[in-house]
Amino acid sequence: MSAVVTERVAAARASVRGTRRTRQRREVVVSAVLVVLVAAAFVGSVLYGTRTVSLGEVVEALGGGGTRATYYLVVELRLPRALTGLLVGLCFGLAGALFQTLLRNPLASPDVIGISAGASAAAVVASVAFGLSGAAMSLSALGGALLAATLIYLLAWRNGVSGQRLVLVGIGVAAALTSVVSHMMTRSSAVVAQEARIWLAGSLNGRTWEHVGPLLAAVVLLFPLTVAAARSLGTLQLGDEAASALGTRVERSRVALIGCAVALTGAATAAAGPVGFVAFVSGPIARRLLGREAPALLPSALIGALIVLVSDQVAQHALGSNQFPVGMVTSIIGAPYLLWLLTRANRKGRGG
Amino acid sequence: MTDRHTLSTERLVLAYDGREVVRELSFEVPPGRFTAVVGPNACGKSTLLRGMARLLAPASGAVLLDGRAIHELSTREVAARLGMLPQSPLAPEGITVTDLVSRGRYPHQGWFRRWTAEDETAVAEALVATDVAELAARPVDELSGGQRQRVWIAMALAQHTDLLLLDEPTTYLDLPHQVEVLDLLTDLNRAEGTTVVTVLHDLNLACRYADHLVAMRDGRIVAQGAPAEVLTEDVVAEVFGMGCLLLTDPLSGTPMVVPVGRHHCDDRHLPAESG
Amino acid sequence: MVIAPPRDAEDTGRRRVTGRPRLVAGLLVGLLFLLLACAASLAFGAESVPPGKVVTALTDYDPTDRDQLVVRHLRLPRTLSGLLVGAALGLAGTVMQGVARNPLADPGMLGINAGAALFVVIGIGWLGLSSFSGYVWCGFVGALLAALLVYGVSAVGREGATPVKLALAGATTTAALGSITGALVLSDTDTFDQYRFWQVGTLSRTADIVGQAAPFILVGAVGALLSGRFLNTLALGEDMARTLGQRVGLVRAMGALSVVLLCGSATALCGPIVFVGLVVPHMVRALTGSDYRWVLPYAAVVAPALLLTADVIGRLVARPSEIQVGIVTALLGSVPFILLVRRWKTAEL
Repeated sequence: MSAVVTERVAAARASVRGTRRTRQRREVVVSAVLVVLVAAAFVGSVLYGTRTVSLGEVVEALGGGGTRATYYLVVELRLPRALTGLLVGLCFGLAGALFQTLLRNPLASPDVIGISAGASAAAVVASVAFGLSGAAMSLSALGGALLAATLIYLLAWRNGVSGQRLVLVGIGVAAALTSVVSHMMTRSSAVVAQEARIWLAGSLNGRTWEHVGPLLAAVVLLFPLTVAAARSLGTLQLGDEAASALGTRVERSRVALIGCAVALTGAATAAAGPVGFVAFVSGPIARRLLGREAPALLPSALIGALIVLVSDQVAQHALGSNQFPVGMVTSIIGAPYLLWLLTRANRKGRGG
Repeated sequence: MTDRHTLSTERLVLAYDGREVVRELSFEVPPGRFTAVVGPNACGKSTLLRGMARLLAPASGAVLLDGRAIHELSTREVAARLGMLPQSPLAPEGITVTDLVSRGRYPHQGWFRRWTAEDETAVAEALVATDVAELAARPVDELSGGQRQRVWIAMALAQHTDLLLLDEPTTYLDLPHQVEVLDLLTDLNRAEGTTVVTVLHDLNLACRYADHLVAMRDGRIVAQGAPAEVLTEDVVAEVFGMGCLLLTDPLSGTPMVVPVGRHHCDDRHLPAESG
Repeated sequence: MVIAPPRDAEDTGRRRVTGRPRLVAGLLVGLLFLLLACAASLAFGAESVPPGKVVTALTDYDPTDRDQLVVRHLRLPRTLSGLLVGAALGLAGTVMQGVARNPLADPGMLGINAGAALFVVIGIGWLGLSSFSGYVWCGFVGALLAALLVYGVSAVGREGATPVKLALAGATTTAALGSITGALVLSDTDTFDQYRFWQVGTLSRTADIVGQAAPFILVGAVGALLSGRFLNTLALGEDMARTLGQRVGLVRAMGALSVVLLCGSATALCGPIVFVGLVVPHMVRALTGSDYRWVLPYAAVVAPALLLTADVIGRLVARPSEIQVGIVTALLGSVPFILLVRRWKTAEL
């Protein structure tokens, strides 16, 4: 190699190292800030409400002390609710980022393409028609998500799966499944229907430790699995052929990752219903914060958690005397964002 | 390089949905040479390339990499020896040049072996070799078509294989960019001894750049060899079904094809069936 | 422009001569189906009424007979609303697909019905409108705003409104507007109780309300049926249509106006119903070819026939209770929708 070339290579090396360093530093900083924000939102949802409690009271209640009313408020009401919100947000955020990256389409999140709708339909049928609750209902929601995902994948399959065809098939399936939820609601009494609304909008109202348990188990199991499977995400993004040429076992990796994402969606939906648009907006926001294209899984999950926790506070306390389902707030925030994203994608002549 | 990897096919049949596209094709890629595959649309040239890169399983016959059937090797083993640039790979939105080229290092990383100095050097060298080092921090979607294609080639180079297959790397590029990409591939071939196999649309450019020309029609090889030796008016007529006038490229001395149409012909050059 | 060789012109000419009687005959067959569907809608339900009594109820009404009462007061208005809403959705879907030149356009999928629904709920809940002729205007406004929003969002930019963008903008708008509507009715249990039945789409309405909706739908239908010639030109692309001397903007505005009239009143009458407007034009085109002058009347006949059939199915499968027609169409309609999506090549999406 000539001296000139060696010099140029050295310069290029420095620039490669610099680019990677900057990126890594940014990822660490963004993640750290998000962790702090999520922690603050979590503590906030335990402390604030119709009756504000102090941090001291919370610690006391957790240790088993304090008044009974405080104990009930903190340990039985707010803590399980905040935990459910946190975990549901993490799951939806991660699942959304996985789907969007895998299907190479920012619009292909589980709440848009009918995976959440599958979980909802299964859960509402289980609860209204068969009177199931707790773990049994969670399992049916999980089954519903898996079934919907399989159905959509098979229906969209035609010499391979194109992201756009999958999105459209998913929208069709989602419409049909949502109508099943609506139908179950017309079949039930008015009171049950009010409760069953969670399966249309997604809500954290009345979440107890019974909901936290299965969800926590799912997160503990699925997050490490996802991280392990996500190694091939970087090459899968380049298209099946390029990924395969780079030594990725395309179908196997994809099925593993989609499996993780579907299970995350199912677990979260079982716990809180299809909290709208959380899965959809988290990934794009994370990418924008990081200023890059790479699958930002951890930040996406954190953003999901942040959105759910903050939206739930808004839904509970900021809108007058009524407690609204959190999914209503996330939908009203998320939908305009999607529309904006569509116009932006258009301007660039891409994205849909 | 003495122990160059070899690639060949043996009575290879490739099919989509039971429809045979490549028929009983036996072909040895000349190691260390620049091979161009030409032929009319749907003659099976891209399919052949995909089969040789293990992207398509053979219906029968085999692709041999270093004498072993490629479909019995693991994806990773293949990726360490053979690079392939598909016709339309996807650049994730907003990805930077460095990041895209870095992904070429995937086959060299493992569960515990992540990013190393060796990866860094490979990426830097690929950036320099393809002359895109100045663009390293730029997003790929802001580049021109020619620059983008060079970045993709850089990614394939970072993979560090001495067999490189390219599926129509010059499609969608204007003429200067086509020449630019082919010059780059020639540089690689000459400097590093990389075996290059590329599908090309333009017969004249293929003749000019290739050491070895492969002309296909209907899933079979009609003629192969050095362009000046194999390309005759009869071969063009057989492969493309078109009459032509064969001149000599004043720059490279290779054959140059002047197509004959209904409005511009003299009797000598009409295809046999209509004349 | 390419000058067509004379052989093609002859072909077209011949097809037109033999084609017209065939198309007329097909339309008559369609009308026959529509009649059968109406008859079924009058006769079947929680309890079936024998055909003789149905006829008597219509020609020589005896208010003391329970069956005749059911036919006259429940099933007749229901059948009429099915006719009106079906025709409205079929025509609106066809016009939308023609104007947007987009195979996925459908008033339900594109959030237009959801927009109408939201504004109707606002009209009833906040403005205290109680008569149909009052809140139907809210439906128009809602339909118009939703249409503008969805189409505006997806049409920005170079490649315009592709099917995927349109569908997504529609699904998103539907979700957001549905959430707002849900939030509005949530505080009020009575309203919620009515709303949850209305939001799924049902044809059972009183004769009074059906009568009030009819003029709006008829005006919209006439506008839609007259637009066939313009849609044919527009189908060649905007530039081509301009070259052929068409005022594209005017045609679009007319199309949008009739869609808003049709969708707004149909939704105000029966709630949001999906897939009918999407699927029917595609089915019809398979029979008639791409000439909108035939597609439109066919759609106006086929759509109500299918909607009434779906309604009858909904009444029969869950006897003595029933499944609302909106649910039946969403379930059954998703099948042809997915088949359609599968048929397109990826490049077209």
